Amino acid sequence: MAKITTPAMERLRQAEKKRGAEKPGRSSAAREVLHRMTYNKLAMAGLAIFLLLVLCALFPQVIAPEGYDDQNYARAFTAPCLQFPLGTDSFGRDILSRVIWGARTSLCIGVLSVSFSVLVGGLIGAVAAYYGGKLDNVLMRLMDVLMAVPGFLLCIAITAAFGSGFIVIVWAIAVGSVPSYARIVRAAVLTIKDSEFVEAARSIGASDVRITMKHLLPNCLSPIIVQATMGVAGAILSAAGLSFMGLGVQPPTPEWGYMLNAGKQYIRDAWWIVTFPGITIMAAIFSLNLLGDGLRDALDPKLKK
Amino acid sequence: MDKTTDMVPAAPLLRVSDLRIHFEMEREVVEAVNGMSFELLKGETLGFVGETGAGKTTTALGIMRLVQTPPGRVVAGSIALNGEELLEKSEAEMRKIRGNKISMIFQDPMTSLNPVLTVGEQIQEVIRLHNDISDAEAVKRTVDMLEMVGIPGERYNEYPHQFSGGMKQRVVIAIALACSPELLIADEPTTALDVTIQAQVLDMMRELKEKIGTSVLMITHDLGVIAETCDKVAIVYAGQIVESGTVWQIFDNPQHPYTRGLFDSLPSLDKEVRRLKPIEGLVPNPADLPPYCSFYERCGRRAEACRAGEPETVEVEPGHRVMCRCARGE
Repeated sequence: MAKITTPAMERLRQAEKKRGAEKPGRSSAAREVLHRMTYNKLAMAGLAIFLLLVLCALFPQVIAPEGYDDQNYARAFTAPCLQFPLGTDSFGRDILSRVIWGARTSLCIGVLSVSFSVLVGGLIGAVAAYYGGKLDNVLMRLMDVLMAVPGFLLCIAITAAFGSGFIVIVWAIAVGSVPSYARIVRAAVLTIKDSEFVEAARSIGASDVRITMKHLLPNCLSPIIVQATMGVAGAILSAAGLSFMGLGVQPPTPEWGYMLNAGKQYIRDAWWIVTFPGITIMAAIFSLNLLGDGLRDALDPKLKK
Repeated sequence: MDKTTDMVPAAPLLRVSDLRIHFEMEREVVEAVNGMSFELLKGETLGFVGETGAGKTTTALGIMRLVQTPPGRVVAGSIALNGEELLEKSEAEMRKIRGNKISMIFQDPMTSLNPVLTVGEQIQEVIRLHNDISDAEAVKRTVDMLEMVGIPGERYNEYPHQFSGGMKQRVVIAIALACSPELLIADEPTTALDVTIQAQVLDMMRELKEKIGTSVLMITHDLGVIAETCDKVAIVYAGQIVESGTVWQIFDNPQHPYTRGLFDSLPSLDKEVRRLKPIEGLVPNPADLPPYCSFYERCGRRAEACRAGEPETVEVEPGHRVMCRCARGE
């Protein structure tokens, strides 16, 4: 058997020696996805807006000109001007500052609730699909029951029953979206669990857990990531909706939905109080949806080299 | 390794006796493998030839203990590797054998590689599963394996879709041979490849086999592949071995009407034949096999006596066994 030795091969060997035990590959997968995404202008725009919101959520005290509850009746209902680019509300609070502080609340609700439903839903879906039979039936019928209740109604019911507040909202939104993740993961696992590479994995002596973690779930990852990205958008929207109805986060915590609610009675005289939080909600959701679309394209290794 | 001296009757590497595998469905029982017995010596290549649905793949999966249960079930028989009964092993013990002592190459390289893992990771997986070695060592062995099957090591980080069909099959072979298994089951390894690549892959398999000293069970429906690669042949029909012997015995002196039918349905270069003679009829429904010779309905030499019961296996010359009543007279 002739060994193929090329100069490039030799270089690789040298590089390998230098790097020691470092594994090649690994880190490059994520980089490659990012690299592919840079070609997608819309997705990059989405990512930019989303990163901006993340920055706001992480460091509002640095970015925001004022605190979120700095009231001053003397300057109430100031229209957008140089000092208050987005104007002030009925208490004389700077709307720009409140929008920036509000990113923390909204993103936390979105990310926490989606993480919860991805974990629980993904586990339920994977178990149902992998073991099948009665267990599958029982789990998925439970999910169907949850799905039969309109998501927003379920949120209202939960917040009405357990009272409003940050944690309750996270739970209320998470519970409602568990079934959709369970279904996505189940469908994805079902389509690949009988494929030849799973059998091949079994034929090299891999265990059930290993097959699920290394072969099945990574193959379902792209629909999960896409759905989760868009799920964060949905969760932010639900949270805003709940707060708008007064069931969500309680004042004075800044929250976009609540800001809409508080401003709606002044809409004729002070349009900026509702407009800017509304635009922020829209931008957040739009950016996440763009990002989700872009990720879907970038995560598919078959689409592009 | 010198093959001929090694083939003096030692204990066979693999001895399968009277293996029966059934698929028990709600309404019917599909008898996929019906009393399969064969031996495979160290370093030897045994070819399994037969039509689609003859039970070749089921036998292979049975040896790996990978027949899906339910509905599949090994009803009877024994599979011994180096004298150890595989059917009595626990699932955990089997996992240590799969990929390490027995490994398998699947038919379609397009689907037998995981699309989201790089080829390097997939080769490395089997090495790490069966060897307790460091990261650097595993990477090095992976790169060695890639180079052994003629793929430059710098393609370690590429995904299966970046490879051609023949290269993918070479990656699959690298995975199968990474732990130097004692037995390699190749389930139609070249069926999905085009002819030029077929020859390339077969040549490579033969070289690697000799280098590592692996025994091979080559499953195919292509007699050309058998002639090219095998020492011995078993003709499989309806879950049974109807004829077995060395390649020369089977190719020069086919005895079973089914074997003859297979050769008659091949175009020949030396004889002027206007029309090929296909075997009439279809493979019997494995859910409804007759209690007599399963080839009876399609046989050109059938007689009333054939319906008396299962035909006996006759040894027409040393090592050449035929399961047919007609073979007895010769």
